[in-house]
Amino acid sequence: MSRAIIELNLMEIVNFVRRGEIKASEVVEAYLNNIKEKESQVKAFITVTEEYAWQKAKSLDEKKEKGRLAGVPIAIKDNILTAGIRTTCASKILENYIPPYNATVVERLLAEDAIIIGKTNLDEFAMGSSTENSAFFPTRNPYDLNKVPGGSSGGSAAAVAAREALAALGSDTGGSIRQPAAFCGLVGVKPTYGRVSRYGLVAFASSLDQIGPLTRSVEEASLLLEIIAGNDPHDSTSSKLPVPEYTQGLDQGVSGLKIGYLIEEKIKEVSPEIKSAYFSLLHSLEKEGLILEPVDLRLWAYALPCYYIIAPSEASSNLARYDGVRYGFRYPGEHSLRTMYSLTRTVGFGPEVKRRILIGTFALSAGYYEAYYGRARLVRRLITQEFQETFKRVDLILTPTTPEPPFNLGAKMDPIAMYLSDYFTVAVNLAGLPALSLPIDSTGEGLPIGLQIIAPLFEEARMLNLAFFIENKVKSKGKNFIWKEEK
Amino acid sequence: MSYEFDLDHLCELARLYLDPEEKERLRPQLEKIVAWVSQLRELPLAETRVELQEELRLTLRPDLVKPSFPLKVVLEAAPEKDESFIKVPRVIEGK
Repeated sequence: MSRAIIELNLMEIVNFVRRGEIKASEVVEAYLNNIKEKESQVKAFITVTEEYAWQKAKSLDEKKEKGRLAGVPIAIKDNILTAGIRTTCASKILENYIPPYNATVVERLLAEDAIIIGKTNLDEFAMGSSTENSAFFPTRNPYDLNKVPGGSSGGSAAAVAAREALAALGSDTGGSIRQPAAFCGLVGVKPTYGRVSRYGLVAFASSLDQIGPLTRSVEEASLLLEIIAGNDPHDSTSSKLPVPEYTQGLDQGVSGLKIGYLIEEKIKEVSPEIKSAYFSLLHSLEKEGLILEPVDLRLWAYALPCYYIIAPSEASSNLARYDGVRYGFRYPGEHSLRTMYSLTRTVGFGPEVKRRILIGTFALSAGYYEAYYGRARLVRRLITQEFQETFKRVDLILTPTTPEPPFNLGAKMDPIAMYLSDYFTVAVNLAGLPALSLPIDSTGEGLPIGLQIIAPLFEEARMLNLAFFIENKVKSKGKNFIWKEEK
Repeated sequence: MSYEFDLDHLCELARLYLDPEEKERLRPQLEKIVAWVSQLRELPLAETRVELQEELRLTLRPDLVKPSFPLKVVLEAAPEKDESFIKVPRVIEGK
């Protein structure tokens, strides 16, 4: 049965477990067995919560009324707090940190009887696009172990792609859910800023961060979003708008929807295989009755530099709390307070985190604040306005998720080259919009290609509808998970 | 625009020590990043104002006294403690 269980999708697992036809402990056993088989190669997890998952499954099997995620083994990115379960942010500075409380999203999953199977690897403090910036080890792409899984939610994406978890949560500050979803052939949703509570998400850039699901299908992502979304008194930026039942309207027709797209000229730099998958999908949509309209997002090119002022500025401020005083690592020995702070931070943070703290410190420092941070805020406003204007003419915007397919580990040593991986995703965070990535094709090498769908604020349902349509009608190949041995 | 990084000053502000080798490695990277983000200067921004969008306005929760984390729980996470206190190095320096 083990083999069969990990082939079942989320809705099937929940139905079987609720009807008592499969025990939650059998589901957990199947997934733990698969983790044992694959994890030494994929390395998706920082912590596998084996004992915890067993206990939860056993008590769930005794329970009469089971929730909407009964028995679902779920992986949680290790920058989302889990009470009593180590939460490291893939940083030495939090290596042994055990949080005293759950993030709101974790509370909501547990209330529906999901089972946390482990905490997944990430770029330290979610700063990176390949998961190579983890202080512990890099994660590998299950489609090809020589390739990166993307980042920063690379562990979450790899875990779901390798069926080490049925679904996962990630966080997205500039593309950290959508880019790894694209690299690992998954659906990854970055909700509207404020749609999902950030309480218990370790802050990187607070005006950009959002938590969202990574799954193998649109329906699974819709259900998870429905459960984790909604107002939370603990997060003053979380919206009070009611949460639609995303799973109910998925098969609504999409004919007549106006789709904004980027013309060839705008995506010159994109790899030929991704470009061709993108345009052939657009062509198919047109045949299905959708209306295509080119959009000229002139400010798109400025989104990355804008992001690389705003995000590091917020990070340098947010990460000031890691001083070795109240929790986390403290540099040992007798030192003055100031020296202790500096030694703790110097030893505790890795190179990319230090780079971003220093850039942020620079952009916020006296004499440079207006020229850098101040200017970036204005550009952010312009980018947001440009989207608002564009969404007066079109219902959704489609772009490739990434400029290139998954790259080799160690291929991008230059920080700016790495930053360019997020070319299509960061503008969305700056404008607070919802977006998702879903697989639409694969390269000649069998690596997944992702499509990004961007919607106006709080129009998640519209983008999920189109994603569901594409998943069921238009997608031709590249869906199968191929396990490649290391060369 | 080129900018000469005062890395010592920034490290002081950010509470980081970098050894000379690390500084030499980081300096050109940081200068390159700052030069790259400086392309924002190309945009005319005189008319732009930052206003909050209605949908993203903050709301405050009711001002009610609620229990906070028990002392024991907070102390468990502390790197050094002494009875009911978090222990820190001497705060006021001097003789």
